[in-house]
Amino acid sequence: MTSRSSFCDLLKENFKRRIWSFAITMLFFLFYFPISSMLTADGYLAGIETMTELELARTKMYIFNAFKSQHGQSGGIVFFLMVFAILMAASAFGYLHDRNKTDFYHSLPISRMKLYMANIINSFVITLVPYLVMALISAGITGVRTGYGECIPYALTNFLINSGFFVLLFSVSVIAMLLTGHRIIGILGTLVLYFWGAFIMSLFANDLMSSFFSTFYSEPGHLSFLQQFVSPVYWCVSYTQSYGAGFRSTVALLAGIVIILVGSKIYSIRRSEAAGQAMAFKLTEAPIKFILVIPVAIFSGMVFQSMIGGSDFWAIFGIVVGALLSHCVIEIIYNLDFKKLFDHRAHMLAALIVSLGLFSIYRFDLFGYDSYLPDEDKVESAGIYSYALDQIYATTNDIEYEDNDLTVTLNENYISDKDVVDRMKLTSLEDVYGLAEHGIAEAGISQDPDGPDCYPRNVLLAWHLKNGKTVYRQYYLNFRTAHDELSAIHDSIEYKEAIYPVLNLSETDISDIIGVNYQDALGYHHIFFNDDKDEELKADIEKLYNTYTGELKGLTADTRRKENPVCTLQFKSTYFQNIADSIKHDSEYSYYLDRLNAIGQYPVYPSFTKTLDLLREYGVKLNNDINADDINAIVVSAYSGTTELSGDGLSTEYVYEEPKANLVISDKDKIQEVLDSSSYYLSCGYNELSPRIYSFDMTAHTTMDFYIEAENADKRDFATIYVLDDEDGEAAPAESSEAESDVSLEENGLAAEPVNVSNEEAAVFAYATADAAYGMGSDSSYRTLNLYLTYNNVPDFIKEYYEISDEYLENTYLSSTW
Amino acid sequence: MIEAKGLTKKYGDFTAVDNIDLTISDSSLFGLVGTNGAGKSTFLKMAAGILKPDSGTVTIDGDEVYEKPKTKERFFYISDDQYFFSNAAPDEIMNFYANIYPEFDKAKYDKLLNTFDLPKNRKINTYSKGMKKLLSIVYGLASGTKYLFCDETFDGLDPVMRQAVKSLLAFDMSDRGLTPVVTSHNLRELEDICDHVGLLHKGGILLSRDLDDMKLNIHKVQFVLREGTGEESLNGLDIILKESRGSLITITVRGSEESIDEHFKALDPVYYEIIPLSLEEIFISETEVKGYDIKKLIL
Repeated sequence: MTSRSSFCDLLKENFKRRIWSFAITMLFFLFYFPISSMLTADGYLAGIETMTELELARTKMYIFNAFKSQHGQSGGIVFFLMVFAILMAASAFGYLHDRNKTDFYHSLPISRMKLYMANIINSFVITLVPYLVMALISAGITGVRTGYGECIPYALTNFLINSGFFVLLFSVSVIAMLLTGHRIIGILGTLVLYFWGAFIMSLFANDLMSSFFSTFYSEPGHLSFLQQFVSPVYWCVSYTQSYGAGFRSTVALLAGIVIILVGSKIYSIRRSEAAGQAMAFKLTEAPIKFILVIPVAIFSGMVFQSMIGGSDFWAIFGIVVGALLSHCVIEIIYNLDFKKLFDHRAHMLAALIVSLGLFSIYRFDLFGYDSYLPDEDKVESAGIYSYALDQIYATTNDIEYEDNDLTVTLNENYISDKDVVDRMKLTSLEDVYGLAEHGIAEAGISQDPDGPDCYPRNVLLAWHLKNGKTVYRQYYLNFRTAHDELSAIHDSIEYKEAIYPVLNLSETDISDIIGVNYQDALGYHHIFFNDDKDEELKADIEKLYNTYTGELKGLTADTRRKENPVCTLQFKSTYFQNIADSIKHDSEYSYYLDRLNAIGQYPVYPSFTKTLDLLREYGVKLNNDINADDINAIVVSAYSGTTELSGDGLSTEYVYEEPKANLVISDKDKIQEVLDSSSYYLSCGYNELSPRIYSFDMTAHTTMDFYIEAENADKRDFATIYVLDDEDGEAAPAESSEAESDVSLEENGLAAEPVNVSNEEAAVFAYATADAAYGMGSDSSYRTLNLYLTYNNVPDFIKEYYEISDEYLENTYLSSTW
Repeated sequence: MIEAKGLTKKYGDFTAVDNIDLTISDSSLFGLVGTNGAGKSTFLKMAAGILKPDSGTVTIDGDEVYEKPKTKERFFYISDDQYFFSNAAPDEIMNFYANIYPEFDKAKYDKLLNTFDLPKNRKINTYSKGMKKLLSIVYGLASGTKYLFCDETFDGLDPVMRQAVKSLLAFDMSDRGLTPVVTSHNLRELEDICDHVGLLHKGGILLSRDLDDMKLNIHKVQFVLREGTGEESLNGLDIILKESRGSLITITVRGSEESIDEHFKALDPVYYEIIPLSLEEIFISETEVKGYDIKKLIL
């Protein structure tokens, strides 16, 4: 810098040149923060005079939540910062794309480093100062309107976090501007640096694999986890949330600083004569071209192939076209001359060959991905999971609950199939290898959808290797061919310990069980241990737990083929019970009790005799002996479709047909016939090993009272499920319900014989029955039972109505059982 | 003094400046002529530290230029299409330069602006091309730098303005030792203002001479020899070109007028006359010797 002028003077001069961009950011953030906050507050507080104190408190909370959403890590602010990052980089270093401007600035007695830093610093000032000022004004407005003192700290914290992201996004954009000699190409280059890594990662680590490897398993969140490391935008908006915002922002800040320093080096070696050219560095042209052309060609091949049903010819056509077009476009851009579109034909040929080679690796599985079997001496253990075997079970601790006095939120923890196989440690590897070999043998082989073979079902397999890695493969298997291996694995203790987390409770967890609920055909109930002392209660609970888990550990696949659960058990932790108690006393959120009741329910099979005996000992009487007198009507709705093999024969799909009108069964004999041949839905889910017919939804509308235990709602050891208050706020006595439940079909305008009614009529009927029976809201689900049929036990009149042949049932039975 | 040694600059496969050795003395107006693409602007940009030489060096008063702000304070560079901040008025840019150049003379700037009748309050983007060139020269002269690099700045100026600028340059040269370096593709534009001329062609320097030296040391002589006097009598003269039309012989010869005059007096020809060469003729002579047709190069 000169003796007379200082770096500060240079900053001032630079700022003057860019005052227009400062005006834009100021205006944007003015609208984005303070004006938006004022609009939000005024919108919510309209009609404040009529609000109760609670409503006002809640409204203020909503305003604060809107404020948080506006300032927080929502994609919105990061998106706008991304736009500003590009704008700032383009305005700061746009002179490098104009020969006259470059000559002007580079002839001045100012070092390039100072010029560079002045532009960098002012870009931060121009973006972040308006952001900070407007965010604080917005925080002040919201704080004053709501009384939430944390507005300013929240705005400041998020300003710091988002500033880190801005530094990263801006620095990347600066690199793009320095590497190019044309503004438009610089902006395109920014977009490439922002997103191309994520595209390539998706293409090679997911899309090609899922297209061509039939055993490929796309781990939930794995792709986005990888993408965040190759794309600055993905890092900033990290959907996987694998790292906290503070950590991501700090890394973004540090990475941004490093990139800015790298940028200063690039600037120092950047030739002034690059202004006006597409690329500033000749050396980068070919590598960047290959990085762009090859993925585009492969992607194009994939698109063409998928459009024409897997034809290799069209895949090659797509690759050639993709490589040709993208190479031509890049050459035109590089030379800024359309006539140069066929320049560097050798490059084009090389890119085409590499594209075809890479595509072939996936298309023809040249590295044997689908036939992967690890060496036995390298395997520590394995895990398998199939939805065709079991649902995913949780414990009563697998929930998140928040009660801030104004609102309540409850969320079940998401447990994926990957989580299950990760925690499963099968050591009897012979069966796992056998299963994998079946899967490999059947991989990619189409099966006859009309044949009697069991249709293929998905199995996820995880190899836990001794080197700490886990390799995943998923197979579409005919379960009948893998019957022995699947049965052996199912019956192993390691399998059940991973499937049923209730088997893995620690001593502390077991002593923390505060009560037990059960579900039968009529709903959820509490077990009354009737113990006077806590020690006795604990002992009884522990005895029940030990008895049940002992029998669950011994559950076999054969048992499940023969039996369906008669009830479920829910072992309630203190944490769970506290949540239930909290919700129970807040009628506004009583619907959460439904969800609470369904969590951590485990099946009890008829052969669990010790458990059932113990339940009887504790006074449990299962309400599974429902007869026709308890049912007004059963409404059968058919999906009118069948589960069939998809076109590739590797997976199944549900093929819908024209739906037939619902069948309403009100004849007592027929109702009884249906009841005798069906099972009830329980919260532990269907027994996947039973030959259940998926095509029917059967809903029985009962006259029974589900709420007989409501009067005990205040007992601490209950998670009372349905608290129905009458107008006085008292729990509705069972007698009153029963008295009003005597409603016949005739009174509701429906015949006693099966009739064709529309869905709408069926719904009207159901609601009318419900209203008449309980004098409550129109939601009939409180007194309906979900039933399901098995293939070998379908009443004749249902077969006739739906025109189902025995042969069809037989074939379907054979194809769905193993 | 500006000194280039083995200066080379390539744009891809094209060599814009090829191994140039050139010295520009202080307090003289150096003209750099050549056709478009001869390498004039590239040379000037390297001298101004805008471009980095691929090989060789260019120094100003013995100091490197590229990325040396201290050295760069000694010159003001005016490009062939000078950049002005968008929507700026002259004073705004003056303030910018005043911050950058330590010796910037605001009073002189005002005076020059008046001299050229350049409106202060009009935005520069409303100026004509010639006015913009004049404004650049105003900034350059007011910057107080020792060197002024003008890339084709005089091309397109009307004769009156050119003369005015020439006077101003001459004044600064004598007043404070300014050394202007001016490029042009037109030799006639520089003829009346340059002290020293360098001729660039295809990136190389064909010649670089002091204009007075050139004029004093090269002459055209028309003569008719007496019968019996052979052309061997011309031996001893440094003849560059020779033309004969019947008995009338015209030669372009190097050497002082006195020595040539003495030589011909001794020969006692029928007739002889020493004719001064125009700059154009000097260049034609000099470049034809080297096998170039200068008419195709710069005229």
